[in-house]
Amino acid sequence: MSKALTTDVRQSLEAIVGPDHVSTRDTDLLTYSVDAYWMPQMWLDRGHRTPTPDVVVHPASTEEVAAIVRIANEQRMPVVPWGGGSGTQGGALPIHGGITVDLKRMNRILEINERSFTVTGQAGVNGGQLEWALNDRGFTLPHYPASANCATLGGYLAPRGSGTISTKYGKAEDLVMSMEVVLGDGTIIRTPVVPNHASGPDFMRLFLGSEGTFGVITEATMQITRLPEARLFRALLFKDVATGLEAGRRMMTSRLDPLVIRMYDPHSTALLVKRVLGYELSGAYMIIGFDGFADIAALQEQRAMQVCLELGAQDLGREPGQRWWDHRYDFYYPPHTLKLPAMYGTIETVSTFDRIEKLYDAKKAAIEGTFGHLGVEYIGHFSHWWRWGASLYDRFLLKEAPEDPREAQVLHDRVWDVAVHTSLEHGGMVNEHHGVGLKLSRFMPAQYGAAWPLMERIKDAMDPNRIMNPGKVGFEGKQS
Amino acid sequence: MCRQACPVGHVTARETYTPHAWALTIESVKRGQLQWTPEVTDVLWACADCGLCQAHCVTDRPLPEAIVAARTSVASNGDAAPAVRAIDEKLRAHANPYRSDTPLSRGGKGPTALFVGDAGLHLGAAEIAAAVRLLSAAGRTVVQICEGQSSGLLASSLGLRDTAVTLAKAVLAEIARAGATEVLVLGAGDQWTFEHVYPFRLGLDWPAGVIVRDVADVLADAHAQRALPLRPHEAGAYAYVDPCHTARIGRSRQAPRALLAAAFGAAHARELFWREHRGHPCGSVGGLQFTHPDIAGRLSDARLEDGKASGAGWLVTDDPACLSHLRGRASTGGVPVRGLYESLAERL
Repeated sequence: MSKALTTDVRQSLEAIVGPDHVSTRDTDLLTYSVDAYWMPQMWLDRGHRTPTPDVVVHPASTEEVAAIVRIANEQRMPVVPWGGGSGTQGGALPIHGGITVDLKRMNRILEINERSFTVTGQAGVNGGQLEWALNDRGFTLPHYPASANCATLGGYLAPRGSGTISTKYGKAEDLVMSMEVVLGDGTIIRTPVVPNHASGPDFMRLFLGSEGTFGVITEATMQITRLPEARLFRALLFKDVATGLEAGRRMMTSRLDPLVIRMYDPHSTALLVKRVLGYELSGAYMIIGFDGFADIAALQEQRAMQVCLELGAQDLGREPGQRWWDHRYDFYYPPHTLKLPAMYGTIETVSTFDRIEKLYDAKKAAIEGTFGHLGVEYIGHFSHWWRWGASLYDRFLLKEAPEDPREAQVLHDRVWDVAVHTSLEHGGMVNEHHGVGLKLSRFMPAQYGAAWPLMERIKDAMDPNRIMNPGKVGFEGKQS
Repeated sequence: MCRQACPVGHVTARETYTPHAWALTIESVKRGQLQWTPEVTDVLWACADCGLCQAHCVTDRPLPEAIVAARTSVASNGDAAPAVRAIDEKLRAHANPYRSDTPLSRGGKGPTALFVGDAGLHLGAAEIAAAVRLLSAAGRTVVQICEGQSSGLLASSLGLRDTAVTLAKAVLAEIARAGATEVLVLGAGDQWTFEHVYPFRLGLDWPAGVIVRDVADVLADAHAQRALPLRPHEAGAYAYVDPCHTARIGRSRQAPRALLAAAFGAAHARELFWREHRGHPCGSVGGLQFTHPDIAGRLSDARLEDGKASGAGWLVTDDPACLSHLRGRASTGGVPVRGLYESLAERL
């Protein structure tokens, strides 16, 4: 789809952002050709380059983003927004070349409104820096993804991300109040900064999960909250997943408002909890946490413990719970994280309480049954909870992956096919919180069924020339 | 993934200048996907070697050491940029990168030595003199050592290992010759050099029984014990700029703040956003002022902007190199920058 970068186009881009902010350096092109998706990392690891952008631009304002998109439209060049590059789904990969728009120069925190409890920032502000700024004033944006220190505000929203404490505070999409977006034709729109409204459809939500295929998020206003007086954590051990799921269901349906419930299946407990936290346990390891006023949090915890102990859980005490909180991100960083040359993928999904256990059992059986003879392992934990269901954060792991990259890619995609179709057949979704990106793009028609053509029509309305992040979230570009 | 703390990534806003990307660049060369062309080596040397990425890494990954090791390898093959080679020649010829017309001077002998270094002599002589006055007022007699002599940190950061070892050995010899059992330093950089770079990067043992202390710690202790009276003075709102390398030494920088509060009032103290454990360097770090003056300048400007945003009317810092670098940028219209010890000495 991409046209090679012409001198005229380059000069036009330089006129918008300045010559220093347009790059075709090889180091830049390589850097922007890989995110946290296993696939491009694997190809690089096996010695092959992956598709690169034709050019990388660094705008400093929404108007500059709009001007870049207009040029891309004229030239029918793909536009790929880039935040922190921490996505695991390949959503920022320039698979058709084109213009990668790095938003990190747009990193200003525009307002911390202590009266309305909101923060407004440009899309490129780093999550960790935003949190420091809020903490300095006694606030927090209660969205704590493992990628927070890398990801950007726009990157929080584009793939509908979840953080560690989403069970109480919601996902990024539940915390956003307003967004400014540059559409595929260069139009700049902004949604109202109000807590909620009934003035027609909430079109802001169209951009949550669109991952740059409908437009480029350039600014957002988020809900913030005071840092809590206390945060209490406790660890428990359940005999199995079923009992732990029932405990979680009872805590959620009785509205005990936990900050976090994290339950590792026995395999994860034996593998990851032991490796990262150093506890050698047999069963399903669960963390529960509560925050807010210290006395209220303690009371909530007390009632939650009653629920768990009635179901036969072993109380492991506060120290292992606090230790998990202190090291919650270690699971996702070297040397603990899954890493090359192994093959791995987080095939997470979500469902209601009446189906989630069967979904877990079915995926475990499908992955191990189909690929166990090749050495593929299945592990999972239940990471984000609602009053109606839970997210299953499950993964596959093959320590001895094929060395040949094509062979590895084929096997990888086969595992994903089995995982996603099993999720869909058992009341789950293609994905709960990492987004769709390139990795899951091919499953979107199956996910949406009869509604998919409507999604295609919405795409055409937003991005008539289909230049916005082609090949992602199920939307292909136009063939030129 | 520790990029929230990376100063170069912050001021350049480039993916290529982030901890993740430096690791990717090194790996890509190893895989044969990039070569150490001038363009790629330019990227490698853009890291400030400030240590913030490791200090903020959830699993303490030693990326700065990997970057320095890669630089060392590239430099040893003769592929370092001309600016790096020029620094190497100056350090080898004159033991400092600043001047060629000032011979090294030998210090005296005594149990307590003040490490002056190259930046102390060439960039911060007034700050050194003020520190000596304050120490004297506190009843501490010091001998000044290594005047004009680089500690080796700059060479180490730039991947010039052999030069760094030569310089470090000269420092160690001077300490031994002085017979010092206590070496006082101005700022976190020298402390980190002696405690980490010498033993872990350069394989040189720090002399047994010789302790390293920051001058501010010594003075703050003396003030707390009423051995260093300071006359209070109203000078408006001020902010302390933590010197380069503060985050990586993992120690409190409360001593300078306590001294400033005593002299200029705690109520007038302001704090920068990039402070203490997240203290960004001033630009005079890792040789950036020589190899990437544009990035060094942006780091300085960011510190000055940070100071202005804090509401401070003046900034204060103690490391001579930081002081000189910030003053140089501040002279073009930024907030005034003063030396910690110069300011305190006026309050004796």
